Amino acid sequence: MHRTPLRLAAVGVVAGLALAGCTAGPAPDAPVEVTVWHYWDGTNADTFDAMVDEFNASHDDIVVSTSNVPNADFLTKLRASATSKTLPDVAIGDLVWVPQIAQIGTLADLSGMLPADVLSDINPALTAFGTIGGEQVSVPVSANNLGYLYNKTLFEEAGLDPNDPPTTWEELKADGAKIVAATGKQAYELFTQAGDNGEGLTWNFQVNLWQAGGEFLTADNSAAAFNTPAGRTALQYWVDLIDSGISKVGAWGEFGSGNAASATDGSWMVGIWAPDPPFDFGSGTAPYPEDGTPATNLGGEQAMVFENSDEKAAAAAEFLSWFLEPEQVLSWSETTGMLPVTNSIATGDEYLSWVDENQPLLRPYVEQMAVAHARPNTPLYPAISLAFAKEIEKALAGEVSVDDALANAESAVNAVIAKG
Amino acid sequence: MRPRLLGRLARHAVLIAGAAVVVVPFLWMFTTSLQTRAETYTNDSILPTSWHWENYVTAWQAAPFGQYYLNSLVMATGIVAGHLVLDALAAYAFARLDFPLKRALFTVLLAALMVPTFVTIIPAYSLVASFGWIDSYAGLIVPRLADVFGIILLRQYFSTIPVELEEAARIDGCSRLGIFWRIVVPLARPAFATLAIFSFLFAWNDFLWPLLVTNSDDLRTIQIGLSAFVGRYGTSWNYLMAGTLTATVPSIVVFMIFQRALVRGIAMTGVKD
Repeated sequence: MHRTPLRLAAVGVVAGLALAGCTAGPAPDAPVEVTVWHYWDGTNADTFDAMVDEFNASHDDIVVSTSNVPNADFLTKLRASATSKTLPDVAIGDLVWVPQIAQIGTLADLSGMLPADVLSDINPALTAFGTIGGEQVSVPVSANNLGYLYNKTLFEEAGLDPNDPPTTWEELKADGAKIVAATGKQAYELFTQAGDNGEGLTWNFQVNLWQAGGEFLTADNSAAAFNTPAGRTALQYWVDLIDSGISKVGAWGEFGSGNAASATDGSWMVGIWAPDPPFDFGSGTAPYPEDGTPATNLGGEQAMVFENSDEKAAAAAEFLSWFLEPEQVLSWSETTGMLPVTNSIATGDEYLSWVDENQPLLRPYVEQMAVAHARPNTPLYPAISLAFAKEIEKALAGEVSVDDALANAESAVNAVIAKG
Repeated sequence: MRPRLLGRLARHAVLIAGAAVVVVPFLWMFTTSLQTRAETYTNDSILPTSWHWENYVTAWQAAPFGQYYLNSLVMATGIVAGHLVLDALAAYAFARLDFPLKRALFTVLLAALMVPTFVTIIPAYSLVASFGWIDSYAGLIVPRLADVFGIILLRQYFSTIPVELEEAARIDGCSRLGIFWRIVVPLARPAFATLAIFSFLFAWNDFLWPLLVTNSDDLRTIQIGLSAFVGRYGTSWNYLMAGTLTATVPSIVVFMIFQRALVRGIAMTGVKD
């Protein structure tokens, strides 16, 4: 090799230094630049970028640029940026992050910046979630929720109608027993393990908790509220499913790999699986108890505006207002398969007829938007979720009773809140 | 005859087992990279069951990977060069020169080795941001031009080179830098090769720092590009594996180039160049 690597390397150093960036300041009458960070990939990212191009083409005074930040490190990058005034103007992240992001930087109160008719058209559970300390710190730009997905082939093998999924807990148990008897496979996969963040178990459980009439935390997020008869009903339902062999304790993923006949899963799975289905699958609303109420859990992305400057915040708000106009909500929802965040679109004929024609599997999910709840909007939520799941998984594994698990989870969650 | 045959069989069995440990993960990556997305979740065979070569094209086109490759190469080359030059000069000073506080300074360097990256990453970020280097090659390269590990590695190696060789050169009228360049550097080629491999792998595989200091596709590196396949709503294992296999190639090439220098260097140790 002689000394070539060394020499090449020396050239590299000089080149690297020479390429060091120099950015010019904007001219006085230049358009306002708005930077947006999001974690979308694939179709979602392509669709968003195309819509941003459309916005830029129709707005001379604003230029929006986007940057994709991998979701696993999204908050890390925001935290680093917050130390040095290098935050973006808009962050679009998972709904559950909003309370944490509100602590990382100063978020603009969007209530006065977005038109009132835009805000009032948004699904109320989503706007309520984005209201912290009386301020509208986030608005949703995309939504999804949890429903019932099932394997039609396994339903047929069990002699069940593949187009008639169970709609209640009682039906789910009856169908489940038949599936187990006929196929020997797990009938309904539950999220039984806390893992290292707990949220898979927790947010699935919340669906059944709300359906049974319970609440997860008190309205002001100051204490656990699930150790109630409703909480016992929900947890007993899970334990019964496991005891009867309809569900099994184990790692999540059996339904996706074709080894379980059904699961509670998100609307996004329809979009992911539709182009290349792993098996013939159907969808339904999340089954609820006959004496309870339908409910589901909301996910999706919320947009937050950092107060970098009044000018930039105003331009960012203008972009978000545009993104939430019916035309854009419709095009985002139809292209990505995410659910519309505004009521007028979610219940409007145009979108619903598109769903029926192009993606009928989404129909149950769209209908559920009316009964959807959002998780508690506290920055402690990730820690609460993990503490909860770690106690509940013991009941699912048969190590402690339902009552004890709920009591232990209650003290664990309250301890997290007390610690702050 | 038989014991020898048995011995050879046993040796081969061990070697084959060892090779399998290395090869099987790559084989699995390769198999996965050729499957459809649905197959990656439903099919757990390690042998290829379908041949979707177009996954490589799809993965490549999912993001501006050509630009990402270039950025990773520029960054890695800059960092390797910085390590080879700056680490070597510092290492030589610690190995051969006498100056005040030498031991204390070396101890400080050793102590710095024990500080985890995560402790320094935010201060380093703030510093880079105050220079206006966010989203620039300078931000990617300059903070990592020198590293303690390289200084210690090279210092230890330089210390083993007989001082007599340097004294002889000095008698012949060679300057300090001349000695370094003509005597020490050629003799320490295996150490340089080792450092180059380590530095390249570190820079090429680094994820967090490039993610923090870059925002635009013009400066993103290959590892950040790959992480986009691990989406919030599911992982595209087939594209991730196709992209990862492609991204492994430069590391293997660099390893092969410098490994030859390393082996040759060792074979020539003690021979006057």
